[in-house]
Amino acid sequence: MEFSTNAVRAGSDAKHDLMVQLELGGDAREVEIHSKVEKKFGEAIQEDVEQVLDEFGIRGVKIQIDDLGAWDFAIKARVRTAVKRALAQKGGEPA
Amino acid sequence: MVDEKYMEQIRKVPGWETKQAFSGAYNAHPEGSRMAPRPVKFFRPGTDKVKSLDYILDAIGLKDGMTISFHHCLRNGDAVMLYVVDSIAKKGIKDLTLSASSLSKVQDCLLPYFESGVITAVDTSGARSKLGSFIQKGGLKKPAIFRTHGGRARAIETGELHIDAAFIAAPACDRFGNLNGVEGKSACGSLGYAMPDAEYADHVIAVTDGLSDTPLDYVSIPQTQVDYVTTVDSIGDPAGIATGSIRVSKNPAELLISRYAAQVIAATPYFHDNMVFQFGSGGMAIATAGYIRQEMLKKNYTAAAGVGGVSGFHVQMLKEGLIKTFYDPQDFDLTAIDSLRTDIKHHEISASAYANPFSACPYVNMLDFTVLSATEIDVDFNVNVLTDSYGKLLGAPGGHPDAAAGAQMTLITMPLLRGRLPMLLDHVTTVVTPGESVDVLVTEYGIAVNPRRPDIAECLKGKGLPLTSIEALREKAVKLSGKASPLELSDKICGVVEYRDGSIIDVIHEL
Repeated sequence: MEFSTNAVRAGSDAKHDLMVQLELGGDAREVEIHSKVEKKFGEAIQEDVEQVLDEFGIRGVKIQIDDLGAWDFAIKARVRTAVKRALAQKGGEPA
Repeated sequence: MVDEKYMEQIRKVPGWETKQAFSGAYNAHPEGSRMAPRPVKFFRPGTDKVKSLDYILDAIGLKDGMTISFHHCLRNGDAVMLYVVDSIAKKGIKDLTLSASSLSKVQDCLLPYFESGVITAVDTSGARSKLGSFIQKGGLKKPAIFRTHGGRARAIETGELHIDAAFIAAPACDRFGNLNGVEGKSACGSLGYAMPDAEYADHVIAVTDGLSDTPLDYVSIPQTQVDYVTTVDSIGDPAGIATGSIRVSKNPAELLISRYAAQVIAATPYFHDNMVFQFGSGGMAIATAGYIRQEMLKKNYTAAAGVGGVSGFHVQMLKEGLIKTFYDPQDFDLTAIDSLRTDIKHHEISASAYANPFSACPYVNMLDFTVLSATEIDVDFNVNVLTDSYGKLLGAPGGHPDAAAGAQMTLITMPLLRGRLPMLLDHVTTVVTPGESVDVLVTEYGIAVNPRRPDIAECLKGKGLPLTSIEALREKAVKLSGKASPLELSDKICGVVEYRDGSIIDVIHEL
């Protein structure tokens, strides 16, 4: 997934963590998921991401998840942080 | 367990017309004779057995379609399989069946001989890495057979697995063909897994880097079974053959599981003076043995015998007199190898003696209890130790189903999840050890007793142990991991998983 310099990141590349790259804009949700447990939890990760985006009422976004087997709470927390950083950047405030 | 639609496919393979589906851990009704046919031999006194491999391959008449065998006692250090298969390939021989007591990652080097059709069938305990992928891409002419250690001995002795030529890596060997695994620069310990091959193969060839001009003192496989001896510079890499020291788990969750397991054992009647046990050589099994050792010291108990693979920790208990005697089909480290060579209480036994179900009493039948690990387990207590969560070949049945069937009480020590993946499932990806032979599951989140064993459950009450049901543990696992999508496996099969009695307990799917 291609991002501009406005993209924000949250997370790490440690085992059982994930890296989120996110950029607000457009009028659709583009979600790309790479996960070592994708066959079993790809759909669950997609649902968690959508749930956080719903929480913030976000419609237009590009988001890439690189997951190394994180649990659901970690996935939601990392996505929330990424969304907050992106919103803060948009509002000109530090996250 | 295995679906009838797969049994139909399996019975279409030439020679497999009468294969039966698994119908119970103790449901075998063997018929026929134990003695597989083997040609008689006459060697004129003074005949020199030491020849080049090239000469030997011609002399034994090795040709297309035959079965060659190897043992895996050199584990991930083996160099003999590559040497022999390469020499065979250079003669233009093709279409061989490779029968190995197991295949390790080091055997990735055989891939070119699979791709060129030198080897087209496999009979083993495990296959992993590149050979595993080759099998799961459907690269073989017929499905690979995955057997238990006892099941392989049974297949050899009944003639179901006929070996044309056994190539036995021998750390020490004399000119008459006596050989052992405890001496020489490439010592590997017990040669238990090579013994059935030596006894029943049409031709037996020792491959050694430790040729002795004088007869050996310690003999594992006798000269009467060995037709030829050939020498090489090195049969393997000592670093891959044996580890230098034992690995005791330091992971807190694993230590908790191990302590629970020891508490479970100590609460049952199977923990008594003169008990017989088997601990695997994984980190948790060794840690459990450590806690059991403390319980034994407290009660002033000793074990009459230990059975199974040996590591330094087992040797320590043998030296302390806490284990009175040891029956050993395989060694994992240098301490164990040295003990086998020097300690008269430490006995080398064959894979058949250890675990063959079609004998009057394999040594696993002595076991009061055994502590084993698992890749996955399910709510029916079926265990998988052969494939990962996605159905990919990873481990090996080894002696797991044999020890589980033989022991009065079988404990599985296993973390409930590995990373995000739950290891307790509704159905394991591959059934290797039937739940009928598994009695207790010990995890860091609780202990579940198989409902078939209310006697054990009764013993554990009021002992302060976190007892629960397997269904409750399964719910816990799902709650922690989140809901997983069901695993879709191909209908095409590339391997069959044999239970120790020769019935088919599951299949391996193409990936």
